[in-house]
Amino acid sequence: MSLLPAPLLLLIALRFRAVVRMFLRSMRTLKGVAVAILVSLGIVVMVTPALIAAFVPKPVPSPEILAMQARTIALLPFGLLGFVLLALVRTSGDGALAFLQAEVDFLFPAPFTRRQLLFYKLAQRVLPLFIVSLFFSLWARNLAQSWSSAWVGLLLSLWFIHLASLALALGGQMLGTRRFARWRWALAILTVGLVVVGVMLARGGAEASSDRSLLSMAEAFANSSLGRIVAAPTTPFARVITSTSVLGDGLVWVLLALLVNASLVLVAVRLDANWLEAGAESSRKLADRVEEMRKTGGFGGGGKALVGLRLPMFPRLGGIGPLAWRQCVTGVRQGARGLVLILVMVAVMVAPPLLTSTGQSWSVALRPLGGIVLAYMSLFLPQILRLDFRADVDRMDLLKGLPVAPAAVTLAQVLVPATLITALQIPLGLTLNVTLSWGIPHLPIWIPALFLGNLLNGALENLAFLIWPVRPSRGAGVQLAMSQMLGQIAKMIALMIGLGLAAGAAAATYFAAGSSVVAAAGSATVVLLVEAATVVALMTRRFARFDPAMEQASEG
Amino acid sequence: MATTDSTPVLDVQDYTKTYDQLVAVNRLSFRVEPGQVVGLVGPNGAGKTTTMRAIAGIIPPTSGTLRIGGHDIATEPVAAKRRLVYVPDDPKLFDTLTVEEHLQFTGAIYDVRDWRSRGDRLLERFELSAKRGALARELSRGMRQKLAICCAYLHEPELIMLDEPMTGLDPLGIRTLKQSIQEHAARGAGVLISSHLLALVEDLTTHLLILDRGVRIFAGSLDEAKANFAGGGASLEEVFFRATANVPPAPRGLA
Repeated sequence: MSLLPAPLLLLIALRFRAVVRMFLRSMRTLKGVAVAILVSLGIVVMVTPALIAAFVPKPVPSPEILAMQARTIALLPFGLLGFVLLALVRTSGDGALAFLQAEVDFLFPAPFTRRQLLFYKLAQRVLPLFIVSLFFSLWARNLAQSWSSAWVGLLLSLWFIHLASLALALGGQMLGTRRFARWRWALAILTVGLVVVGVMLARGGAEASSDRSLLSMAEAFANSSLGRIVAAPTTPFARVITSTSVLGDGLVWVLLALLVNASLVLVAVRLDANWLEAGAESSRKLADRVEEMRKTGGFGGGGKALVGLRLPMFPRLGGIGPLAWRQCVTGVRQGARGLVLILVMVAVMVAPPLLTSTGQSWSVALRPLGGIVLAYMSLFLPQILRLDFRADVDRMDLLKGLPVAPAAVTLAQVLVPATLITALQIPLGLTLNVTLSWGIPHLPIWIPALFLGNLLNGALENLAFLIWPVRPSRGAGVQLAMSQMLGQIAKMIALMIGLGLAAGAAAATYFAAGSSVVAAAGSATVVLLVEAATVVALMTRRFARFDPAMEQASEG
Repeated sequence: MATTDSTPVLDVQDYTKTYDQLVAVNRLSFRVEPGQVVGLVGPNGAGKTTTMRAIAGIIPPTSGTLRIGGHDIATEPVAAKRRLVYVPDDPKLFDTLTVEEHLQFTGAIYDVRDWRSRGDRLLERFELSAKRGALARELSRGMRQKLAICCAYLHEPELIMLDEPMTGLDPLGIRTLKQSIQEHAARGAGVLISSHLLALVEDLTTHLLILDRGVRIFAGSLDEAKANFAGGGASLEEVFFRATANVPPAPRGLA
């Protein structure tokens, strides 16, 4: 029985043809052509320097390149292991078995064996991995002796990650969900334990050396006996990338890497777990996440809402009150999820300076990061909280049909996220000002400016959405993503101009008023107030003209 | 339903499906003979879709056997699946493939050499001929349902399983679907239809399988169901409410 029967090959071919057809169809409109040109220009700008660097002859590697290669050999295996560990702990382990919903409906009840479906899934990845590895090999060339080594090494590495995730998922199905969950955690705890031991050993070594960077400590651990043992299965991949020639000194490593990958394929095929139910379930979850992304453009699904939390109804205030109440209830109930994400983000940002601050005051090491954390909250919490028009795209009919003035609707939409984000930033900022000795005088007088900055950011996001309400994850792939990116860039430029004007006004007032911080804060607040009011007015105008029927039709 | 000695199209014996502590379906047994149209009815959460997905080989049974044309779906999945077709509730299509490409692909799966002529006839019948070159994502909900049904009928399956097949269809589409189901039954296929539209089920089915909370309440002919639960002249709706012990109060003023 064929491992990849003709109908499955036909499906792959049809879907490839569909991608080409979609691209050609998008080129029929002026907008499509413009986006295609912009995308092409973007790719040329990104690729050209790497391409030139890749093919300029470098007869003798510089000491810096040699050092980078040594570092790559030492650390890349851990990077690959990290990806596998992530795949292990991120979900119940069956994410690698996710198919399209159409594939579930057509292929699962069809007369194919599970192995044939597995090979179909693997075959589907061939072309994307080929292209991705080709793309990144142009940058990896700087680390490698030859471009072909970089390409082959990256291709094998990407296959390893994919196959390892698949083998883990199938192993999980063999063990059963509960037992797999226990094994998963045991393995995760063991790995974290090894990392802690490794870092402690590396810290000990680093005390004696002058280089105490995190990278040096990681390299010291990688070069230790324990590190070599842990990284043994993935070392061949790094060796291939840094080899002089794939067919020369790299050949042995290529064969070893192929052996590792072939073993994983063998494991996946041999396990032959009955994964169809898990595959259907993880496919459904994936479809739900995509649908959530499609609706909101946000971070997708999320934890269980805290339904027990209740708020009293706000006064009507021309309709703003009830609409803001609705947003507040949602925001408060989703707050736990947002806080967890903030904590993870803060942990990721503060861990490196904490680990490397040997003999140095931690507060000094963390001082610049406090401001970055606050800025991240302003920029990314609106995406997490999802309390504006982007989340209400399927409820625009309802919002437009309410007996409430458009201005009240738009104000309610943007006031709540700005208020909630500012409410989170105030205690954090005041605490950091003391603990990290920022020494900013009269910090509370900047709170109105902070709130208005958040309001301006949210209003600009919503204005961009109301002008071009195209949802992600539907439509013409790269072009759509690129046009979304261009929209985000335009929004960021507008935000930077707005904040720059406020900062300029503050600076001018500060010097004109004899170094008065209060006057500077006051002028920044006034400028931001005018800017936010202008953008909200534009939003209101746009919302009043918004036609949900046209928006739905534009989705095709 | 289990009345003849010939190989049934579908033979389910002691099928049980559990999820942790939850018993979704408990020791369900029934048969579908060639030519029978069996209505699978029950309240939400009764286990109807779980049962259909298990028969289709998407989810494995916790215990029990499910045979399609004599082939166990667990041990001979390919042979069993070759004989059946399952159209789920809200079937998903390949958004970027055309209507015709869906038929081409389905024809390839089931080795239907004359897929084009058969497909043409089906598209004509379900009023999709004009949409032959349209992408699936450009179709309305009802058209997508019709295309899924066309794909299902392409290889003349022995067992047809339809989960809420009327959803989204216009009156003409419903009539066409009903006629096509009866024609497939007449040529010897077994049909299993799950639907909450009891009046439509009553029009179409010869037999009835009632599930409630994973347990079989009744399996037999429609006439037997009426005789058992509500007297000879009762409607299927009446049978359903009595069988699931969920009799709604009579409207005020009529009591």
